[in-house]
Amino acid sequence: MGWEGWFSLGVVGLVLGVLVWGRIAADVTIVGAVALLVFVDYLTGANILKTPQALSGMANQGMITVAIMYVVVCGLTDTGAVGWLGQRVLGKPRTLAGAQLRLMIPSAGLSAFMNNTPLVAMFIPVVSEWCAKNRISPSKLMMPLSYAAILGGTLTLIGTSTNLVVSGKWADSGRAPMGMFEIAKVGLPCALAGMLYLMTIGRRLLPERKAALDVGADPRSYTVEMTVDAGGPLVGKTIEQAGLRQLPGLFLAEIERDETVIAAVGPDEKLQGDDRLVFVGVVESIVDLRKIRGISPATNQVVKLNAPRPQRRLIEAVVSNTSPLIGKSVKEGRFRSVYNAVVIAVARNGERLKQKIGDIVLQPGDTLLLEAPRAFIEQNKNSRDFFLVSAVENSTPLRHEKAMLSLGILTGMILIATLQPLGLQMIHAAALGAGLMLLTRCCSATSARRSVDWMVLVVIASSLALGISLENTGAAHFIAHWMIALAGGNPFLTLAMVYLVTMLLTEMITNNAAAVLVFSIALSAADQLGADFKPFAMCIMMAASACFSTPIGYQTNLMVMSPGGYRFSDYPRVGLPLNLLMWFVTVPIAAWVWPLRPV
Amino acid sequence: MTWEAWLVGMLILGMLGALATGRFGADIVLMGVLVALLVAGVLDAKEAVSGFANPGVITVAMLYVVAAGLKETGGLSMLATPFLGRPKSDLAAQTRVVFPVAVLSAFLNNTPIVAMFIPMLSEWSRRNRLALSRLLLPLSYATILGGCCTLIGTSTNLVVKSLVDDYAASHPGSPDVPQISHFSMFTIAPVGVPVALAGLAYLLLMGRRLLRSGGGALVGERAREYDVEMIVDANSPMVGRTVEQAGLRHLPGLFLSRIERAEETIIAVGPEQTLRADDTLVFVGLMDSVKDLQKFRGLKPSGVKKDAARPFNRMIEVVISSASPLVGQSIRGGQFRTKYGAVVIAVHRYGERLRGKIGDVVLRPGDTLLLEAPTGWSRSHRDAPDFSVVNEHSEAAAPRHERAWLSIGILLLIVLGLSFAGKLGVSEMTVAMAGAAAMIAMRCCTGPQARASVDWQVLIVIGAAFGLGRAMEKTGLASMLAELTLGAVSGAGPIAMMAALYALTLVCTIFITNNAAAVLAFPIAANAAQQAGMTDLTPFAIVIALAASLEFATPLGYQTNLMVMGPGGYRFMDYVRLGGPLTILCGVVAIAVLAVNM
Repeated sequence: MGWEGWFSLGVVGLVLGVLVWGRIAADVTIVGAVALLVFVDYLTGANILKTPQALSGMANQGMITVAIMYVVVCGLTDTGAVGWLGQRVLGKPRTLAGAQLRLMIPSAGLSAFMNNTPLVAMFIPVVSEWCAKNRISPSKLMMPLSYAAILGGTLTLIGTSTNLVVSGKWADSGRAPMGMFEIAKVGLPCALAGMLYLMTIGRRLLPERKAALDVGADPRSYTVEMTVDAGGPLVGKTIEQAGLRQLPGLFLAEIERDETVIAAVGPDEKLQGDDRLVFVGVVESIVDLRKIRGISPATNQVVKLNAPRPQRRLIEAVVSNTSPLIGKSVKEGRFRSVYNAVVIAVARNGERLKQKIGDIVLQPGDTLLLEAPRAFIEQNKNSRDFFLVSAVENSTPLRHEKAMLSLGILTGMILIATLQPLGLQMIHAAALGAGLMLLTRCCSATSARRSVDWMVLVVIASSLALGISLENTGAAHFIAHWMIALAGGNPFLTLAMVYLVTMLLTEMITNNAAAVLVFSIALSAADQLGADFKPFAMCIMMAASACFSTPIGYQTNLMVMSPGGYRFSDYPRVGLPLNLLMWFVTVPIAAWVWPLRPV
Repeated sequence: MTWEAWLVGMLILGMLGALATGRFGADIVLMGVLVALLVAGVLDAKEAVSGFANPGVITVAMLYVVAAGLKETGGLSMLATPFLGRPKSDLAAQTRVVFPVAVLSAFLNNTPIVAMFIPMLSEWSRRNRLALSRLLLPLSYATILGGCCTLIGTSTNLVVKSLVDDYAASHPGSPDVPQISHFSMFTIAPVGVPVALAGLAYLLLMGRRLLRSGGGALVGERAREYDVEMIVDANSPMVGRTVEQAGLRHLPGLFLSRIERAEETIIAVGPEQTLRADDTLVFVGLMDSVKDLQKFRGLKPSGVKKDAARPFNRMIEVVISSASPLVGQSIRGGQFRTKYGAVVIAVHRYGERLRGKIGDVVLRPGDTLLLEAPTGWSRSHRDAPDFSVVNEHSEAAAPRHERAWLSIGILLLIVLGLSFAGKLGVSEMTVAMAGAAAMIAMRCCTGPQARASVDWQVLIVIGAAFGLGRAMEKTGLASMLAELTLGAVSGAGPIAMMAALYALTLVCTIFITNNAAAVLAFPIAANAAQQAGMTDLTPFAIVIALAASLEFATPLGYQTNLMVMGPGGYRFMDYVRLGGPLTILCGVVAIAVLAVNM
C-alpha cells in the first residue's frame, strides 16, 4: 500500500475523530473530507478519488430510495396513518422494556423479508409520535429500531442485499446454492441475543436526550375544546384506551355531556359521541391533540373557513390594546368574517377560562390560538390589532379521511418491493409510492419537499465516496490481508478474524463492498487451510450487516440520528458492545453448525 | 417510431402543459415525468438517477454555499453598493444590472455570476425600493446573452469548438465536403455581439412592461412600528458621510427620527446631516426593515457593548405578559441581558412613540421587544410565563462584517479558478467545492446557513432534466425530430436551412442540456451544409452555438433561468411572456447578420 492508502485511511480516521468530537455537523465534515481527497487527487495525480467517483454517491440508488421514502412517509404522517399504526403496533406498554420489545419484534420480523430503509423510515414518525404521547424520550427507542431492523435482515437470504451479494458470489464459485433460511441458524440466535442486550444493558446505555414535555408551574396554557366525533373510532372507549390520559403538556379538565359537566375525569370514563372535551395545555401539545383521529375542534366555525385545509395552520396572536376586538366576545366581534381565521383556544396568563370559546370577552394581552390560512401572517404581521403574530410549527391539519388510502399505498409499495413483479425493484416501488401519495393528495408538494432530510442524504452520498477512496488506494485490501494473516493459520482464529475484518470494513465502506472484498480473501485463506468455506461465508454475511458502532456505517442508523437526538458518540457506546456480542455469538455458532474441517 | 418515443413525446407535452398551468412546482412535475419513464422501463434506474451525480448539479449546489458565505459576511453588499449605486427607477436599476453582467459573463461562467447576484440584488432592491421581480429575469437573460459573445463565455461554445476541431481533423481538405477553420476566441463575436445588444435593448424596453412588480413594503395606517436605536461604530465607513450617502434616507418602511449626540439631539434629520462616530440613531419602522437595518456595516444596536462583536445570531420577537417580573422595570434596571441572555434591539408599544433611550424604557404588559439572542433561546423560553408569545425569525441577525474581505478574497480565487479551470486541468466542480469548503472553514458562514442556502428544488429539476434528455436520445426522439425539421426545408437554400437548424437546436436545448443539444445538432448541420452546397461550415457552427444557449421562453432552457425562478417569484408563463419574443428576436437577428455576411 502506497502513501495514498495511508492518506485516505488518515482522512477517514480524522473524519471519525471529528464526528466523535461532535462540534462540526456530519454533512459538513464528510463533504469537506471528500473535497480534500478530490483536491489531493488532482494535485498529485495519484489514484485517490476521481471527481466522477466522488459524485457517484449522489446517483446511488440506495441514496435516492431513501430520499423518495421520505415523501412516502410524509404521506403517512400528513394523513394521520402514522398515529393509527403506532396504536396498533406499539399499543400501551407499561414499561420501557415492554415498549422496546413491542417495537423490535415486529421490526426485526418484517425486516427479515423486506428492505430495512422503508421499514425504518415508516417507523420513525410512529415512534416519535408515540414517545411524545407516552412521555418517553425517543432516544430510548430509535436506536433499538434501527438495530432491530439490521438484526432482522440476517434472518433470511432476502433480508438484506448484502446476503444476496454473498450468496451470489457463493453460487458463482460453483457450490450448491444456499437455502433461504440457512443463515437463520446463526441469525436467529444473534437476533435474540442482540434484542436481549438492547432491552437490558443497552437500555441503560441509551442516552436520555429529550426531556419529555410536562405541564410546568405556570406555562402559557390554553383552554381548548374538542368534540368526540359521533361514529368515530373513539366512541365507547375509555379515556385511558383512547390515549387521552397521559398526554404530555396537556390535561383533560372536564367533559361536557348533554348539559352535565364531569369535572374530575377518571381514566375509566367512557367517551360518547358529541362529548365536548375541555383540555388545558401548552401550544405544542394542542398541535399534537389535533392529530388524534376521532376528535375535532368543537367550534363549527372551522368548517366555514375560506381556505383549503392544507394551506391552513395554527397561528398564535396576542390581542393589542388598540384592537377593535377588545371588550367584545369572539362571537360578537365576528372574528371569522373579519380576519378569515377561527379562534381555537385562548390563553390568559395561565387562568382557566370557563366560557365557551365564542363567549370569551377578549382583553388586551389575551393570546389567541387561531386556525387560519398561511396568508394570515403576512396580512396581519404589521397590524396594530395584534401585538405579535407567530406561526406554530408543524400545525397543518391532518387529512384523516385519507389515512386508509395512504396505508394502502404503503402496503402496495411493500408488496412490489418484496415480490418484485415485472422486474420492478425497490426504487421503482418507492418512486411509485411517492408519486401516488402526491397524486392522491395524501401530502402536499410543499410538505413533501420539507420532509426530505437533505443532511442525511448528503452524508450517505459522501460517505459512499469515502469508501470508494479506501478501495481505490488499496487501503481496504491491505487491512483485510494484514488482519487475516494475524490469525497465523489456525482455522478458528482465521474465522474470527474474517468476521472482525468484515465488521471493521463495513463501518467504513458500504456493506456490500465490504462483503465482496473480504469474500475473495477469505476464500483463498480457507482453501489454504483446507477448511470448509461455508462458515466463512456465513460469518461474512453476518458481519457485513453488523454496523452498530457508527451512524455512517448504515443508512438507517443515520436516519434515526436526528429524530432520536443522538450524538455520534452515542453509537459506539451502545453499538460497540453489541458488535462484540455479535462476534462472540456468531463465530462459535458458525463453527459448530458448519464444522471447519469437513469430516 | 417506437412506442417509447411516442411515450416520451407525450410526457414532454404533458410536462409543458403542467408547467404552463403554474399549479405544480417544476420539481414535482419533472420528478413525475422521471418516475413515469422509470416505471415504464424507458430508463433503467441507473440512467434515471445519473443526472443527480452530474458535476453541473453539484457545482450549482456548491456555488449556493459560496454565495451564502458572501451574504452572511456582508461581502455582497460591499461589492454591490459602489457598482450598483442608488438608482431611483426600475429602468435605471435594470440598466445598471444588465450591462455589467453581460460584460462579465462574456468572460466568466454564467452560473456563479447569477448565484452571486441573486442575494446581492435582493438586498439591494429592498434597500432601494426596487421590484426584485423586474431585476432577476433580466439578470439571467443578460448573462446568457453575454455568454454568446466569446468562446469562453459559456461551456456550450467550447463544446462546439471541440466538435469543430474533431470535424476539421477528420475531413482534412477534401473538396466535396464543406470546410471549417479553427474556432477562435472571437469567431462568434460578429454575430454574438449584435444579438446580445439587440437582446439587452429589448430587455430594457420591454422588461418593465412584461414583468409584474412585486408588492413593496406596506406602511399602512395601523402598522405596528418599532423604535430602534443604532450606534455608529468608531471605525464605521459611515463616519463623515451624510445620511443620504450612507443610504439611510430612503429605507422602505423605516425612517430616521432623530440623532442623539454627546450633548445634543437632532430632531428633524435632513439628508445632508453628517454622521459622526458614536452617534445614536433612532429609527422608527416595521419589523422587516428593522431586520434589514441590522445588516448595515458599521451600525450596532445600542444594547451591544462598544467595540464588542455581536454575540448572538438569532432574531426573536417577544410580548411582555402581564405576569412578567419585567413589568414596571426599565430594560437596563431589570438587567434584561444578564437575566435572559439576550439583547433588546427594538421596542414597540401600541401606537406610542417612545422617548428617551431604549435602556430607560419602563416596560409595560403588551410591549413587544425585538431581541438578538443565541440559537436555542426561543426553545428554552417558549413556555416561560414572562412572555406571551415568542416568535423566532429564520434569518440570522447581523452579518459578520469583519470577514467580508475574506469572503470577497475567496470569491476572487473561485472566479479565477473557474475561468482557468480548463488550463489547470481541474474540474469546475472541484473549484466550486474548494471554495465552498473555504467559506465554511474560514467561518464566513456556518454549516446550518450553508445547508439552508442550497435551493434543492433547482437541483432536483436540473438533475431530473438530465434523465429526460437521456430518454429523448435513447428512444431516438431527438434525431427523429431533427430529420423531420430539416426534411421540411431541404432544397430551400442555405438561409432557410440555417433558420430550421436554429429552431431545431432551440427546441432540443429545452429538454436536453445545452451541450447535448449542440452535440446532437452538429452532425446534422454538417450534413445539411453539404446538401445546401456550402463550402464553409462556420455559419452553421455559429448557429448551433447560439441557438443552444439562447432559449429564454422556458425556465428549463438554461439553469440560471431556473435559479431565479424561486427568488423572483416567477411562474412559467412569465418566461413565455418576456422570453418568447426575446428568443425569436435573437434568432432573427442572428440569421439576419449571418445572411448579410454570407
